[in-house]
Amino acid sequence: MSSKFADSAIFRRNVPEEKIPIEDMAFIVEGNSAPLLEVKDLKKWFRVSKGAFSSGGAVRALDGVDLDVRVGETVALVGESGCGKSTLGRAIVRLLVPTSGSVRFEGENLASLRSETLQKKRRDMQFIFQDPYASLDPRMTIGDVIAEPLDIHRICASRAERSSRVGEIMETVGLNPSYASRYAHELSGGQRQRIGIARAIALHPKLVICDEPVSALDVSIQAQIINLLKDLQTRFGMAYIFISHDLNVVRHIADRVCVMYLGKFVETADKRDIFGSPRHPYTQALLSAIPVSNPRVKREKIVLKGDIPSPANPPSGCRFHTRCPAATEVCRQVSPELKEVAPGHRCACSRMM
Amino acid sequence: MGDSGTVVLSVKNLQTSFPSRNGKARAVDGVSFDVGRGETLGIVGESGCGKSVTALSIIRLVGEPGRVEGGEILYGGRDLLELPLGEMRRIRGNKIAMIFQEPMTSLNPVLTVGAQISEALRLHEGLGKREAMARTREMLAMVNFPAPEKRAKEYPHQLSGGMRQRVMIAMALCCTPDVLICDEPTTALDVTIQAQIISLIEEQKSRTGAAVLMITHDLGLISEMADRVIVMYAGKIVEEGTKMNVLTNPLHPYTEGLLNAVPRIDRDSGTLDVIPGMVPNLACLPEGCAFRPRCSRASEACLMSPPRFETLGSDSSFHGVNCWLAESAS
Amino acid sequence: MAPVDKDSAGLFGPDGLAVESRGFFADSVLRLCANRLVILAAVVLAILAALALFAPFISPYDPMKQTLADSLHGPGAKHLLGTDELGRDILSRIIYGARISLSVGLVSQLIACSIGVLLGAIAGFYGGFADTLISRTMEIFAAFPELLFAIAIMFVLGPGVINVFIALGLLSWTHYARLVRGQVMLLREMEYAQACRVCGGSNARVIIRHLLPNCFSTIIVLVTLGIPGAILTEASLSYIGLGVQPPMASWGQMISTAQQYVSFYPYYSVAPGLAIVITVLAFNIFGDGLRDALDPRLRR
Repeated sequence: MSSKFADSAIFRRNVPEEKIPIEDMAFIVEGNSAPLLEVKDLKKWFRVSKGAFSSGGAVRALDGVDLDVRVGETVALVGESGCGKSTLGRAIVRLLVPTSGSVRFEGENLASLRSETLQKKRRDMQFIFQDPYASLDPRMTIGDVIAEPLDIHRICASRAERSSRVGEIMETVGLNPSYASRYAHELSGGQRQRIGIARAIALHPKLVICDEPVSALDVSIQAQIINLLKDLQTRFGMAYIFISHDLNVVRHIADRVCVMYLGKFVETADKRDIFGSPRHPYTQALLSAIPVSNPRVKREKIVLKGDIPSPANPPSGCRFHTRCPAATEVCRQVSPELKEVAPGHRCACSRMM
Repeated sequence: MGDSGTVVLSVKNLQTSFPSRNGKARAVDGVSFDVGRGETLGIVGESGCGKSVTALSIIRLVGEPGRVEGGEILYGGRDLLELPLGEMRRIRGNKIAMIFQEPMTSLNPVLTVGAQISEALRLHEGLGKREAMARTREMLAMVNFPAPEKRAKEYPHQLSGGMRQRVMIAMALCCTPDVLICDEPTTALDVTIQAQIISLIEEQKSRTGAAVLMITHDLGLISEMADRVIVMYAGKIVEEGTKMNVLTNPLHPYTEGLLNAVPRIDRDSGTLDVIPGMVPNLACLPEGCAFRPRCSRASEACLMSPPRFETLGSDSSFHGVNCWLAESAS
Repeated sequence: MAPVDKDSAGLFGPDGLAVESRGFFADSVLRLCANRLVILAAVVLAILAALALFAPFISPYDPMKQTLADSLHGPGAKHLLGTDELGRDILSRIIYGARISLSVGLVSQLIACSIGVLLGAIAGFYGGFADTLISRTMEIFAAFPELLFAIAIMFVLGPGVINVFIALGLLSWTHYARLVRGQVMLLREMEYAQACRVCGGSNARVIIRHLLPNCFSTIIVLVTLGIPGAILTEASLSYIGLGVQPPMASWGQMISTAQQYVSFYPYYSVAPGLAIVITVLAFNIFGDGLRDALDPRLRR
C-alpha cells in the first residue's frame, strides 16, 4: 500500500482513504444510490444456419437475466459449460452485442451510448481472460501490453511517465518491473495471468469481469492469483464479476453467487446462503459433486443423470427437469420464475412456491 | 505393501528423461511403486511433476525425444521394458488400458464410436465382425450409454465430452484389463459429469477387479477414489502412503502446501496459503532437495544433498516421505 | 500483501539462471541461420541485390553500347559471356537485367501486398457486405488465367516498366487478400484482440496494432514466394514483347531475342536463362526457409 502507485492520480479516484471492509462499503452504497451495474432481462441468441437455404434456429446462450452489482462487491457467476456465464460477461462489456435487454453502468444504458462515449466508459469496465496464453499479443513486449490501455486513453504525457507508470503497475501485481521489455511467451502461466490482471487494472476500473481467471493454472499458482485478486480489491475498491465453474474458488472470493443453468439464473444468494442452505436441486447437486480433499468428510453425493442439454434445443418448462431428481409433471410444463425465498435469496424452482 | 490383493503391476526405479537445450530433463527420476488387484493408487502433482510421463512410460508410449532410461516395470512376471514391440502392443490396450484427459483427440474422428470399439475387440480378442458388434453394444450399455444401438453409429464429434469419455472407458474396459491407467480422466469435464464418470470408474473397478492408477492434480478426486496416494514433485515421489495418512497428516511440506493452497468448500478462510514460486525447470533442478527454494522450512541440510526416502508406520498404514525434516524428526 | 511479491523471482530458474530474453525476430533469424541451404540462397540474393544496386560500377561495359563488329561473339577474355546480335556485352546486360527483374519482383509484390492486405483486412474484420463485395471481386480476378490477364492489362496500359509493375501487382493482390482475410478472421476472435477492445481501443487500433503484426510473418513469406512468380511473368511478358522495351535489358527479352540465334549461337540464351533459374530458385528456397523460421508452431 505504501508504493508510489497508490498515490498516482488515477488511483486516487474513488479509493477510500482507509480500507473499509467490503460489507460496510456495500452498506454505504446501498444507502445512497443505484447499483454500479444493472442488467435487466438480458438476452443473447446466436443464430445458427442449418444449411444454405433454411435459416435454422437460435442458440439461446443467455435467456433473460437480471443482475445488479454494487460498488466493491464480488458477484460470482457459476455454472457448467453452455450455461451462458461467459456470454453474460462478454455481453456486459459489449464484446458481444445483446439481442435484447439493457445493461446500465452507473445509470447509463450502454446500448444507447455513442461509440466515443462508450470507449470512455470502457475505462471503468475491464476484463480478465481465462487463457493467459491467447490473451496476450505474442508480438508485444510485456510493457507494451500493460501500457496499451494507457496509450488508448492518452494518459501518459511522455515516454518516461509511461514507463514509470508501467513499472508501478507491474510491482502492484507482483511482477518484476525489469521484465517490461520481455515477451509474454518467456513467462509461466501464472505470471502471464498477472500481466492480464495488470492490463485490466491499469486504468483503475470500477468493475472487472474475471472470466475463469484461474482455471488454466496449476493448483499452487491458482492460490497466488486468487490472493492477488482479493488484495487488489481491498486496495482499489473494484467490484468483480467472477465467472467460474469451480465452486471451491467461488466460495473463497465471492460475496454473492448466481448459479446459472442453460442461459438462466436458477439461484442467486449471498455466499453463505448458497453454500449453507442451497435451495435449488441443481445447486445442491453441484455442491455435492465437488470432491473434497479431506477423506474424513463423508457426504451424501447426488449424481445427476444424463447430459447437459444443448442450449440450441432447451427442454420445455423448467430447463433442469430432464436431470432433476425431484421433477414433477408441473416442471415439464411451467418455466419457474426467480422468486425470493428468503431475504436476498432467490430461487427458480416450482417446488419452492 | 498395499492392503488389497496381489501385486499386479510393479514399477521399480523408473527413469525417463527428455533432452532439452539446457541438458537432460529427468521427467521421472527413480519412481517405484506397486499396485495391487482391485486397488486404486492415486498419483498427484502439478503440471510438470512427471505423473503423466510415468503413466506413458508404463505402456511405453513416451513420445520422442523422450526415453525410458532405466528401471523395471514388472507385469505378469515379466519386465515390460524388455518386451519386443509386438508383444507390448498385445498387452497395451488389452491387459493394461489407458484413459486420457481429452477424449476428442484420442478418438478417430472419421470412424463411428461403435466401429472403434469393435475394432479393438477384433484386434485383441479375435472376435468376428458380428460378435464384436454385439459386444460393443453391451459395452456401451455397461457404461450407461443411452440408446446404445443408435449411438454406436454416431461419430465422436456428435457426442458431448462426457459421452466421449464413456466411449473411452468402454474401449479401455472391453478387453477386461488388469490395470487401468486414468490420466486426468475428468479434468476436461463439468462437475456433474465428473461425478458420473467417477462413479462409473468405481463401478467398473469393483466389477472387474482391475488395479486403477488414478493420475490427477485434484486432491479431492484422490480423496474420493484412491486407496493409496503418491505425491510427485519434479520427477520424484515426495510422499507416499494410505489416503488417510497422506491427506490428513501430510509429512512433506509440499503436500501440506498443496492441501492448504486449494480453496476448499469445507473450509472458509481469508487468504489462501501459498506455495511461493513455481515448479522448477527439470533440466536445471536446484541442488539438494528440489523443493527447497519454495519450502518455508528449508534448512542447511536441505541444500547439501537430496533427501532419502523414509518409511514410517506399519504395513497396513504405510507412510513414506522424502524429506530431511522427517528424517531429523525420527 | 506478502504472497503477491514472492512469485516475482520465478522468472529465474531455480538456481538464479535467468530465462533468456529473445524477441520474435531475433529468434526467427537464429532459426533461419540454422539451415545451410537457406543461407546459401540468402547469399545468392545478396549478391544479386549488390549487382543490381552497383550495376554501373560492376558491369564491364555499357549495356547499350553497340559494337556491330563484335556481334555474336562467344564467351572469351574480352567478353566473359560473349556478345549479342548488336555486339553488346551479355554479362553487362544480365547485370543490368537484374535491376529490372528484382525491381519488377519487389515493386509488383509491394503493390499487390498493399492492395491485398488493405482489402483482405477490411473483408476479414468487418465481414458482411464488405466481405461479400471484396470476396466476389477476388474470385473474378482469380478466375482469369494469370498470363492472359497480364497480357490484357499490358494491352490496355501499353508496354513499359511502370506498367509491368502495375499489371503484375493487379495480378497477384488476390493471393494476399485471401490470406490476410482468413488470418484476420481467425485473429480477431483471439482474446488479445478482444482485450484491446475492452480497453476502449478502436477497430483501426485492433487491426493495426494486433492483427496485422500477427499476420506479418505470413505476409513476408508470401512476398518472398511471390517475387519469383512475378519475375517469371515479367520474363514471359518481355519475351512476347509486351514488357520492358528495348534497348533496356531484361532477361526475358534477352531470351526472346536469343531464340532466333539458338541453333548456331546457344550461349546467348543460356546466360539469361540461368540467371532467371538461379534467382527464382534462390527466392523460393529463401521463402520456404523463412516460412519455417517464422512458423510459431516450430518455436521452442
